[in-house]
Amino acid sequence: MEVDKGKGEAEETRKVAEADRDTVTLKSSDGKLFEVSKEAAARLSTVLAGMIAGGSIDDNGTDLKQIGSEALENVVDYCNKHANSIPSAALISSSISFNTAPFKEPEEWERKFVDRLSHDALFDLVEAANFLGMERLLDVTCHKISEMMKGKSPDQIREVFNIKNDYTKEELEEIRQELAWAFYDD
Amino acid sequence: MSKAHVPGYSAATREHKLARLFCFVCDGGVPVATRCEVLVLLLDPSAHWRPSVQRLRIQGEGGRLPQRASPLAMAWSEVLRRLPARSIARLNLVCRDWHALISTDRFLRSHAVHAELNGASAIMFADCNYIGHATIGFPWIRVRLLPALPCGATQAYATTYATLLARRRVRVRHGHEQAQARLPLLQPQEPRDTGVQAGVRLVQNIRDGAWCLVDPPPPGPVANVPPVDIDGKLFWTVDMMPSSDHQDRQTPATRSWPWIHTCDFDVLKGPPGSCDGRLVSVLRLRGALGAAVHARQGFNTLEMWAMRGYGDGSWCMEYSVDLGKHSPEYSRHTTVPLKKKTLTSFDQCMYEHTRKVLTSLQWELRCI
Repeated sequence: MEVDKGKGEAEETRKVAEADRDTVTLKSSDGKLFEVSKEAAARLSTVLAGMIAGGSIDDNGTDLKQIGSEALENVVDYCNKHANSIPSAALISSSISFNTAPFKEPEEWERKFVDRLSHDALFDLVEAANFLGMERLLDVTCHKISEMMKGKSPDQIREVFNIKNDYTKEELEEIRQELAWAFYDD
Repeated sequence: MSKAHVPGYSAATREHKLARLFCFVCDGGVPVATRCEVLVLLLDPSAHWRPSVQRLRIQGEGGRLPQRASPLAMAWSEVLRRLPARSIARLNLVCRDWHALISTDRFLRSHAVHAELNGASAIMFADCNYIGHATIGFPWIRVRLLPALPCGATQAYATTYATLLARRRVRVRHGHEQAQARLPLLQPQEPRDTGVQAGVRLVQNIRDGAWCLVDPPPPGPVANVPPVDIDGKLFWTVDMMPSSDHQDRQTPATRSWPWIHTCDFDVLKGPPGSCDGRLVSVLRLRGALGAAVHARQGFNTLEMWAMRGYGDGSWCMEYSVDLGKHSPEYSRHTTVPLKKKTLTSFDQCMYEHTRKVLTSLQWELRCI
């Protein structure tokens, strides 16, 4: 069994000086164990926060059957890195103009974090973040994917993400007509 | 693409089609998505926008959760819901799965919630099950309808009223209005015996972009008389006989809306002749509220009235335009002067009687 301790975990541990354990152990679908700071987990994941508050955290490893070890490792890595990063104004400013992407831009370290991931790892991470209710991680990963989609035609998107075109020509034309407004040239 | 293809708007009839408006219904504090139908106001560059009041039909509870989707579909759903509506609409072309995903109520809801949270967009139109039109119409309006549907209600829909008026032009094709206003969250009202639970009665304050909630709502404007904005007040005409049989009867009164400071509105008496359906338009005339009124039977003239003061509601006739003199085709039955930005007043185009102005006059005078 492998226990993955994030870099920031030690400092985090000292910060959260509590009587009981200040980390939680998470168990991936393939049985690997990961430790993550309780504070970061509760702050970043609504699901883990609920489990911690509800006392359904298992000291021997809380089963997360939906998440593979690679994705969980990334999740834990993200939590630790996030704990180390300077907390920013997380709230999305309301001044975002209408036509810009409705995310708060990822910070530099978040960008680097997702940039090194493969397609598959990225999607696994989206799934994991979705499952764990990690809104910020979802934002960051989805933003990365949407950047990969930016400016691409449906054809190119199919190619990049290896999606099969199961439409007939007529169907495509029909949709194109129905959605004519979306295809105006800007 | 030509303007005629602007969806929802027919250049031929100058009608605005029904589009579905995606909105929220608050059920016990949890906003659930629903759909309602509302007449959408679009601005075709060639046309004048017009307000409309339309019953919204809220269909069921909306926002039903689909059967369990695959984790990958969920992941894509997460990615797509963060994209602008227009991009999403284009992505319908990628594959059937995406098309199906985008068409679900759940997706529409989550997209709207996300857009709402992020202050990104606006009215979400779910037209033909497609998300979209967020760049059309009132991109900066965010409507949240919160009629508290009575628990266990067997009625499939509740009705409510929407009065949406805007004074700002919307660029239809590009639709990148930078300004946006947050609509106040409408609190669910006490259930009334009529079943009408709540309404959207919002008017935009042009100065700070805020939306005001008005209770009770003012009567809706007459559809084919465009409103006019004079010094921060919006004037429109109302039908004082709101009988459904006489929807297109002209209006006897003008309402003014002091936009800036209050949300009150007054009914002003129209000029003589407006009460028997001869009022054809309200317009800005020498900086004041003006009205065009058909002359009495037998005269091919348009009378241009200007209001003396808002206090006493007195009117005086400024011009009497003999339409037949300018062109035989302008008969009093088919002519209505419309406000046009480039012309500061109606008399300008009458006096500068060049060919060019005649062309613009032609623009000004439209057939009813």
